[in-house]
Amino acid sequence: MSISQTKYDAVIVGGGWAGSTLAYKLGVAGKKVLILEAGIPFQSDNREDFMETFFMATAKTPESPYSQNYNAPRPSVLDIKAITDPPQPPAEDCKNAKDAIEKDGYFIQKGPLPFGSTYERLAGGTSWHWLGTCLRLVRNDFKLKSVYGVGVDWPMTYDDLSPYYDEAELEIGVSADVEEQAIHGITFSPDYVYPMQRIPPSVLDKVLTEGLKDVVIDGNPLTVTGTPAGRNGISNIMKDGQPYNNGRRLCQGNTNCTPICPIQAKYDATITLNKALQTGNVDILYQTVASNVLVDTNTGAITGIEYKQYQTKNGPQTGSGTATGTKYIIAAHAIEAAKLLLMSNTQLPNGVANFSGQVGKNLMDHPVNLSWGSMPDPVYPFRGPLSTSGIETTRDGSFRTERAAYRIEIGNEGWNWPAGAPYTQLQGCVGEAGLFGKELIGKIQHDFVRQFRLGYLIEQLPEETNYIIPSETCFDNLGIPRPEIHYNLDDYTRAGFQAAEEASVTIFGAVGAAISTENRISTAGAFTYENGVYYTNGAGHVMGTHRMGDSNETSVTDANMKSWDHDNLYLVGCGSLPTGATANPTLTMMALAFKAADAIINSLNVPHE
Amino acid sequence: MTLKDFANLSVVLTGYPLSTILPDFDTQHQAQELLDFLQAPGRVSPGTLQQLDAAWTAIENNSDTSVSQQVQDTLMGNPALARLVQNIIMMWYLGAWYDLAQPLNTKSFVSEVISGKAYKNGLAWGTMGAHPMGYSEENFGYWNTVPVLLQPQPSN
Repeated sequence: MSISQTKYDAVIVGGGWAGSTLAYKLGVAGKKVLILEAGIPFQSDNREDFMETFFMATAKTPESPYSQNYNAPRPSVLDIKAITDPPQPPAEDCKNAKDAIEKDGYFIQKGPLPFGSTYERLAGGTSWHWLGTCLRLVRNDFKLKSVYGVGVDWPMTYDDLSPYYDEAELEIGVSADVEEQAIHGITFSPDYVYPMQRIPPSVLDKVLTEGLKDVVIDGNPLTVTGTPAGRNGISNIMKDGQPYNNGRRLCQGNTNCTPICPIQAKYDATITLNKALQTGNVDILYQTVASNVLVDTNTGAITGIEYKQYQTKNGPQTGSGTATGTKYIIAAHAIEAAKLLLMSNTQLPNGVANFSGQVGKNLMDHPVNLSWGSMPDPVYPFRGPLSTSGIETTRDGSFRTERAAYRIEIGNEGWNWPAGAPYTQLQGCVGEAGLFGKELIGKIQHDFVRQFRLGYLIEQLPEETNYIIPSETCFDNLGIPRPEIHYNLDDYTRAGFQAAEEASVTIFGAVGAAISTENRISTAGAFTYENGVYYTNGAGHVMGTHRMGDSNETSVTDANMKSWDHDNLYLVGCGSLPTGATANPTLTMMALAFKAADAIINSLNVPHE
Repeated sequence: MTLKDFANLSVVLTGYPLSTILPDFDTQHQAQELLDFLQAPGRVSPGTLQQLDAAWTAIENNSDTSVSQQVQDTLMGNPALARLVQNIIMMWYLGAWYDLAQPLNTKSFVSEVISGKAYKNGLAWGTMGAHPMGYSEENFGYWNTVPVLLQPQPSN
């Protein structure tokens, strides 16, 4: 049946992580689904093309394998610059999308701090360049306001979400150890096992495990544990008595999870998207950008989603239409979803689904503090997955009444993130020091193999003053507004940076390492706090822009991610998270997508009155 | 400059033996690719290439002083050639090309990647016991153990 003739149970905006998960579960339940995907289709040879683009990229950024698409643009870390005061106005010619985006990047950054995170707009979404971390939130992350008097509570508890974590971990194929993950009250269903055993620790992990075993900070021991990972390890025996098998290859440790796993040992959402399409109940329109959510202002019902289509990444608009169904699900990226709601239906003064006024607000990330240095003995970086272990014991404690919590990601890629290793250092050895031959080899084998870095993912509270709105003056190639971002770090988060730096002094001292601050490649996120200078980096964890809650006055959706304002509209994705806590949000987003899917299926199964 | 001369020069500059730079059974033709890149029209002035060729020929013909010392003195010590020689090292180690008009230092940016193959054959990674990011031929779990670092001996 052609798309124009099919009566869809659900229209989903976005073929990324959340959209693919929803489509898969709805498709399996026999529901007819149409996905509107802004970006290009996924084909089996995309990965090879992406790899070659990555190899040839002069800067190996998270976006480097994926070329810019001016009809569905995305931000790049290369465009993150310090914000001037007052902010630099957009170029006068910013209606010329290609030139303006090439010059200044996709975001209109209003500051006072630059927003440092990016995403992808193609089938599979940002899962193309995710790290693979699959941590669950801890219990107190769901009740920050009740327990610590800051932020907001979630409209659900850990126990409410736990079964959906199980479901998400099975779909992703997470490698982890249950006993290791049982911190801060995290519990699992009886006899639960992750699909695969924890990924083996790196040489660096083992050095830190031993060196920090007696170190305590703010009452928490610095216990190094394996990071739950969406990458293939050794299978566990599942409840059906069979070893878990997802048919994909074992991780080869390409040290390239971000920006791209060359062998798909790391899960990405194209896997679930393909399964969704194979149900026979899911259609997808690629190169189809949602541009307007239509509302019946009498009933409040969503009546359709208008879209624009294109053929090439820099070509003109080639088509348009309106997708209709029974239910509508916005599962675009947190920034794109909010932008779409705010620019839709001008008859509603605040945009769609925005009685609360919270759409686009509470923009959160996990601002990252990077510490790097040299170990007394070699730890052999640039080997294995980008990160195999972390310190999670710091994610909760009474200190959260005063300052942000953090988790510590242990990096296996030397000074690559903070200081451009090994390029920067080699340039120094060859250019400034004039080394060649044996001396050059000796220098590399002495210095470079001692490099290590820690990344502190710091909690950020929801604030109305951190928000995204559609630009009134700057547009993409289809004439759709670009995102204008207003962003800062409050003192709660800044105090978290201070605590992280203090922890670094303790950690580096305990393992006898020398702290380095040399050759920092980005200073755009510099800020001060109590006379100290700190630098924030984006984690790519964009959250909060259509948050769930208990009330239509303070939140955009209920706990099933259904709009308070429109009975047949759901908003699902990292934008749903009321608070970001410290866990990389992807696993939680997928668990929420499964939860929303259950609610949508149940709703569709209720006979219409 | 002949391939043989370029390979011999590269042995001294990189510290890797000829069996790595120009192996007898050469499936990669990496030295040829780098030489072709270097000699492509407009890349490096013909005069500078001729100067490098002549300087290297003189070094090879002078057995009184070690090759390494001569490279230090007459290539690294010659402002007209030092910058080009640095780029040859960076080609071998990272498959990367840098703007010759700018000094090479920790603030430099790669201006061009020579090829995906040149990136994957970059010597920097193996020198550390690692592999190019995005190109591992190792097996699952190898990162759990300490690598054996190669100790290539230059033939000088």
